[in-house]
Amino acid sequence: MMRNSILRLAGIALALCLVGCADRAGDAAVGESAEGLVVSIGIGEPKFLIPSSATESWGSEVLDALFTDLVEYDESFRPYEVAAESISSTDNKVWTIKLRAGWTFHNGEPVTADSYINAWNAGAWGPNAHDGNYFFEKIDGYDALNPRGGNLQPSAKKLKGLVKLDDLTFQVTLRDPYVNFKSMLGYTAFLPLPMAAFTDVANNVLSPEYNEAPIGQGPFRIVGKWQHDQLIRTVRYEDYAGPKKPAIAGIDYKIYQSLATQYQDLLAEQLDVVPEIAPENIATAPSDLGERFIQSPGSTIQILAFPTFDPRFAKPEIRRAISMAIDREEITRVIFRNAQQPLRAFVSPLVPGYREGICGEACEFKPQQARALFEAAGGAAAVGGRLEIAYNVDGGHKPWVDAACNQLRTNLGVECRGNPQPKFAELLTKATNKEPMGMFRMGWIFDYPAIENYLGPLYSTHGSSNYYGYSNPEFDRLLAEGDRAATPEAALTLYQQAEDILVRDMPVIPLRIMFNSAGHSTRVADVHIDLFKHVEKLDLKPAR
Amino acid sequence: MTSFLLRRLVQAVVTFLGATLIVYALMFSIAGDPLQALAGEKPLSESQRAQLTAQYHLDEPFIVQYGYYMKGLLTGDFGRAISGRPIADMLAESWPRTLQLALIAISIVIVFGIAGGVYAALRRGRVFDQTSLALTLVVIGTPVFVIGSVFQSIFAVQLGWFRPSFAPELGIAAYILPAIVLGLLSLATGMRLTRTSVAENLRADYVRTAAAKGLTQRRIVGVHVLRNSLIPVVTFIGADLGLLIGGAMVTEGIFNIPGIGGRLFQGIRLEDGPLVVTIVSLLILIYLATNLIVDLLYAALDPRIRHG
Repeated sequence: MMRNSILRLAGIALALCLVGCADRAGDAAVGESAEGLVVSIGIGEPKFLIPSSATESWGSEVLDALFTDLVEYDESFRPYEVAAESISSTDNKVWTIKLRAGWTFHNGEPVTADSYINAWNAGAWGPNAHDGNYFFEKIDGYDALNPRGGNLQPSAKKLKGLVKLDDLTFQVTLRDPYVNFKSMLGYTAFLPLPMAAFTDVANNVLSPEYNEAPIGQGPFRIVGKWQHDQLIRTVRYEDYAGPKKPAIAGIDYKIYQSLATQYQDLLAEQLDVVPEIAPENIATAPSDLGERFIQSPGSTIQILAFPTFDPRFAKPEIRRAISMAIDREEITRVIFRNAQQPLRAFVSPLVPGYREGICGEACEFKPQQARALFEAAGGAAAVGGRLEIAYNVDGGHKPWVDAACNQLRTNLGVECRGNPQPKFAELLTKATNKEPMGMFRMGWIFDYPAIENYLGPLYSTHGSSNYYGYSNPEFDRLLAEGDRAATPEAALTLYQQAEDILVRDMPVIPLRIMFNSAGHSTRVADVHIDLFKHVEKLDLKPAR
Repeated sequence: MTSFLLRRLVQAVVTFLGATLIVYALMFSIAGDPLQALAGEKPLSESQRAQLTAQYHLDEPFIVQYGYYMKGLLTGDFGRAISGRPIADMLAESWPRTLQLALIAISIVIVFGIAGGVYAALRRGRVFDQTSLALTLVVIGTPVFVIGSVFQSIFAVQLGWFRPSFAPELGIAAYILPAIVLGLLSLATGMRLTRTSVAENLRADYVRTAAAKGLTQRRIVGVHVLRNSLIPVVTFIGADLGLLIGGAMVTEGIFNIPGIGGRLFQGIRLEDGPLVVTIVSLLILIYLATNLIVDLLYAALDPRIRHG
């Protein structure tokens, strides 16, 4: 009897849990709604939903629905004002930003100059450790908020360069003149914050609650809270002041652990928009989706970097020979199934001033010339008898690295092999410490559409992502002069001259541009992906 | 019985402490640069790095970090994951889901595994026995992510019987397809095990005696044979519950269930020591608890076994 009851108790406990452990998230699904279609968009779990911390694509995708940027970009990637009425400067050092009147946050608070000043101060304040902190470094007074060395106590709480002129106007003073400052302002980090986001404005302290339910001034407002790993629900903001109004009732951001599952949900019509199709589904996507499969160029470039501090790669001839021995077309066709395209410049096509094929012959596949150049520069002996390409194993890079190595082996007659690193962080650590690991892969996605956003961080002597030790004073000088130029056009000429130097020096080999592949369901039409890989929410409308 | 329980509990505490220390040490030794791992391919400014290092005690030696962690744990504070979310919140959200998934899976294993195994044993060599043998071999030989992807594609996308991904609004129904995938391997093993065990017991002397006494077939199999045959099966299933929870990572990933597996994966990817150790510690606790329950069930199934 006793034994039977133990078994029975276990059974009851199990049954109780099956009922009682039911998910709470089901209840939270009940929310407000507006007339019309609610579009579901697949994303991964964002890191943060605070504008100055949302530097990765999923967080910024969500904030793009909740907020409207000061500027957006036209077809030639030039900025034009949206939330701002005018952004102007006479010397490119002191910028005056005038806001449009009548904008309100989702909680009813008016959007004022203070909304921007407070937000930017909080983002720039070192102790907040916001991921977008570096965006503010051009503003005067940044260093006082971000002490270097062992000292962690900032000597100021507010950026000296931000001054309120009136309720809708503020002035931004930069440390050095920067001609394309207006182009930067379309980035998530420069969005405003309502007073409700702060617990202590004077000390730049944000409320932890804000990250869970951000309040913006954009076309959609959040319903309830961020349901981590599951859902972020938004609904059309009826008082939205922007020029173009949404044509849908709301957006449900469904959070996925894998892109492949998003794709299965799209096929089953359980998800409306997949902004990024998993590499393993690219092959079948055109036939699965037909016209609902869309591709657009992205701003991510893939390059092969040389440790130029390593004597084996010190000669530009060696670098050029390696570049000419790689058949980019074959790799993009066979391995990436055209989801990536050959790159023959040092910047992506999504910036003003991009020149197709500027790299010239050095980025063409010329096996004979490559071999001759390689032998003349010392051949296999000059590179230590063997080439290595370091890559991070968690990014799906092995297939193309192996393919490139095969091509180098065949075309240059030198042994080549991949050098797998567990993570990109480890690869960067080794590069920083100048440990020998051969050539290594790098990728770069722009922060805003400007040619110098590739040239500066990647190739200038003190560039934040110049891990290969490339340094050319002439290049640095042209870049600095470009920043100080009077007009964007004059700056562009200088920037392009700087890029020409890269063609001669070949500190890195341009390899590929990544194309963005997206798909949508039959319920929704006019799905467009912008240059930040965000879905154009104001274009979305129900399919007819 | 009481002293047995007490002894086991003391053992559990020692095992728990030792296991957390080992896991923490392992995480500590592989940790390259969690801050850069968190930042991905973006640069990290010097001041940001300094702030985060101080916040997570990353510059302290191993034993001090472990000390901070255990101190928090003992005061009920699980700390924060490196992404900034309180670990307690993450666990409170994800545990119930994984637990439901594993319990439904184990129920499927118990019901269909035992029933199928008994039926196959009673009809040895017949069609059901042969086909189930072939099928279970196929299942045992196929990796779970293949089964998961194929089932998702066939039953959810093409036939539309289920959703391809987890839909919390469906309640329990949302777990059925993932639970089948998760439980399939154990189902196959459990079924083979039951079949062998029952088949063996059917030939035992006490069965002949019972039949000679005039008991019905139903009573012989249902009461006498089954109880004696279940001991190895219970051992297997008990050990399997822990395995199912730990192994739910793949299934949760395929069906997008925001459970413990996904958090564990995230923790390992970001080299997030506290998160990984907390989850693994809880897995250890579950193992310890199920093992204890299995031992108690032995006594319930076989009167000859007594815990003194």
